[in-house]
Amino acid sequence: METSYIEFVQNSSVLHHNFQKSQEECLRLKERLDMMTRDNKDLEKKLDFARKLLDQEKSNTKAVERERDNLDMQIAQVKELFLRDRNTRRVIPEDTLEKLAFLDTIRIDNEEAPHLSCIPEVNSTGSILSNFSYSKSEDDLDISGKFHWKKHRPSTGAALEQPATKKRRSSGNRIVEISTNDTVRATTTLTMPKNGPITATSVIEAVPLAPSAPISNAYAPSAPPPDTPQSKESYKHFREAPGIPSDIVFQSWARSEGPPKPVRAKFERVDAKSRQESNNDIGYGQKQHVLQMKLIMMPNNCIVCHKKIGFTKSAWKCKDCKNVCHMECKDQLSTLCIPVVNTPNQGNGLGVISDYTGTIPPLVPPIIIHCINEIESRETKEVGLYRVPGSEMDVKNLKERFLRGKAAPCLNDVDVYVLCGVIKDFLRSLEPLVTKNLLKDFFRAAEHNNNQMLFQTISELPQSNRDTLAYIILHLQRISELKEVKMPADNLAKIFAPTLIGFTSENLKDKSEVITELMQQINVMKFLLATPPSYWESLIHVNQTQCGARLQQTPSTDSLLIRSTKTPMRLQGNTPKKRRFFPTPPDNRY
Amino acid sequence: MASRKKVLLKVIILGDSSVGKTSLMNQYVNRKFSNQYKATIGADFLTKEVTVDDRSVTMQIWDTAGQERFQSLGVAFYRGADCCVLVFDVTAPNTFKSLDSWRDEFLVQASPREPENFPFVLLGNKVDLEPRSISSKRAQQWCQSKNNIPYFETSAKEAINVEQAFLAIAKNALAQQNSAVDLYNEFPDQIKLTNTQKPSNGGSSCC
Repeated sequence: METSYIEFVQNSSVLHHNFQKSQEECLRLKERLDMMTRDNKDLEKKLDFARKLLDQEKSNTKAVERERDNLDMQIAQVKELFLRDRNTRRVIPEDTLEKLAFLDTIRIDNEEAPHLSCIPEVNSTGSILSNFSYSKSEDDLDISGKFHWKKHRPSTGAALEQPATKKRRSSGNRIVEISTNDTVRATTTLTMPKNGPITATSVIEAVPLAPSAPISNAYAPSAPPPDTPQSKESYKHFREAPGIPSDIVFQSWARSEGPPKPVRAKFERVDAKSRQESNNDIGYGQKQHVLQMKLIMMPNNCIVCHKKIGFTKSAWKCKDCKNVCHMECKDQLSTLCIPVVNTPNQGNGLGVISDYTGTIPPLVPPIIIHCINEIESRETKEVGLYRVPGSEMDVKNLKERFLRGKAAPCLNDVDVYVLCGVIKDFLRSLEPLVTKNLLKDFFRAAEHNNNQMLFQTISELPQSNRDTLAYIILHLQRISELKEVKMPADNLAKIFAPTLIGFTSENLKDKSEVITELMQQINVMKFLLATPPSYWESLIHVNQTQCGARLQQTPSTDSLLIRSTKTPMRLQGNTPKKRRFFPTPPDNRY
Repeated sequence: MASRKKVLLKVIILGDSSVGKTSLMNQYVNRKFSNQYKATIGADFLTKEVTVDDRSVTMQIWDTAGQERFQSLGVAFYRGADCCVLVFDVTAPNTFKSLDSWRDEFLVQASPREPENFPFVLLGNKVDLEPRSISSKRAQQWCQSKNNIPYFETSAKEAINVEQAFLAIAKNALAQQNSAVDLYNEFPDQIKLTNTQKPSNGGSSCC
């Protein structure tokens, strides 16, 4: 009896033990199940995300492919036009025919790779994810900083490869008319080197026609195929256009970096005469004011008549350049619209040029455009522009007013030396336009007097630096031509060299080193000033036609880039640098 | 003691750009005035032998660049100066206004032993030009407020007062050298038994 009872107790204790164990096991399993379901959810989310990305990528690919097909068609049409049409064949010179022979090979290339092989469509989700999240985080970094105001801008990301030029082309253009007496002559030059970029330039001119000549004949031989979007576009120009001088020249060109990429079409009108007449509104000439009706709360002067606009009166205000004008002055509004740029690091003067430029090319800070325009519009003949100092106080005040991010101050009665001072002072407060990493290349190019090298180096500059440099050099070249000012290129080079070119290191202790570097700087500056204006103009003009997506990226990427390369120097802190470069007299003077 | 060695006076000319620093120096040393209008790079110097108080003195006149950007270089040349010449343009008020900053800048960068008594000379250049915007009275007032700096009105173009001004500069510089130990001499000096106010290692303070 007793033994069996003991046995029972033992059994029950074992059972109890087992029960507890299995309960624990149950709990553990439950936990694991939870974890697994969570994991599962996560993974599903990831899968969804990846699918979305894949879809996006596919649609991108499709868009790109469509683009490519489109361009293929264009090429085919061009080919047809030039090779099959006997009439044309006779017209085209031999060398052009030779160039066009490449058309065939390029087509074959495209057929070999019907899909874009560079996008790994069958890759594991993981790698795409990681790739993408990586780039995404980079974007975030970009956006989260001071450039977040660009976020709302359209056409970032997906449609990057699509040329946004079509829209721009047709919308913002001047209107052109061709009278019945004119003929349109189009010349298209296609350059297709085996590996290099494809360039197609078409010049469409309106040529006054002898009244008797048949118009249809003049159209036929060399006009581009009417089906291609490009030519359609250009025809539209002509049809819609009233009141254009007949010697205006249209130019369009398409460029691509190799067969698989879509050809980016660019359109530009070049009006040689008017450009020479109004050199100073390069780039910003076409920008229209975006006027909005506003109630005036802050006392402000009308930019047309320069009179005060009364408190709580309505007035027109431009959204971009923040200028205001009376209701009745609107018709005479002709001042350039140069969008005000919010400077992220106002206050401390040190920074890079791209912090001050807008997003519309050419990327030149408004302060520079305004001052240069004002100086040039006065046609001043004052001796020693840029050499004679302006009043310190005035320079300082004017510069501050510019950088406050409000409407541009009225420059009508500002002393011209003060304007020069503002330009010099502003540039001096930034890092030199020539970035440190390229400085040596500039020195070398100037030493060998090598134009090719110089152009190459200039093209490596960040866009805002390059545009501003071009803008300033063009201005200086004009100044140097004025005999009365007595500031030949030599003098200007001396004055601007340390500001625009800069030193290789800030800690040059040795006098002789400083002097040799100064001489090198001045040589570079002289060389830049001796470079023909047409080159600089082309820099500004080409930039103007770049598609939107790239332009937006430029300022942020530039400044990030510069910052990363310059970290050691920046870490030195502002104060010591300031002291070294802006000793007391100039300090007081701004 | 100074008479035994060849005396070298280092004179620095400072002032805003285009006030005529280079022209003044050229007029004094070469007796030439050029209509050329050229900005100076960094700094340049000319020497001239003069006789002051029956002593032959070599004046080393340093012409600096007035451009704001060049000032980072100019400071290297300030050191060891015996006299500082401030130049302004009597027709340009700005150039007069910035004299203060030039003076302060020089004193900070050159760190002379007695900033209060360091010899400055003020030149108002271009008196041949009309209209004048800085009267001589105003300039003199400024000079008085700065411990009686000698003031000369000169014209580099017409060679008015240039000789006299530089003679005064030489005298002032010499007086400065005599009053203090010749710290900037490149030859190691003998032990001096005369009354020296400064410790012999004072020279390191300027580097």
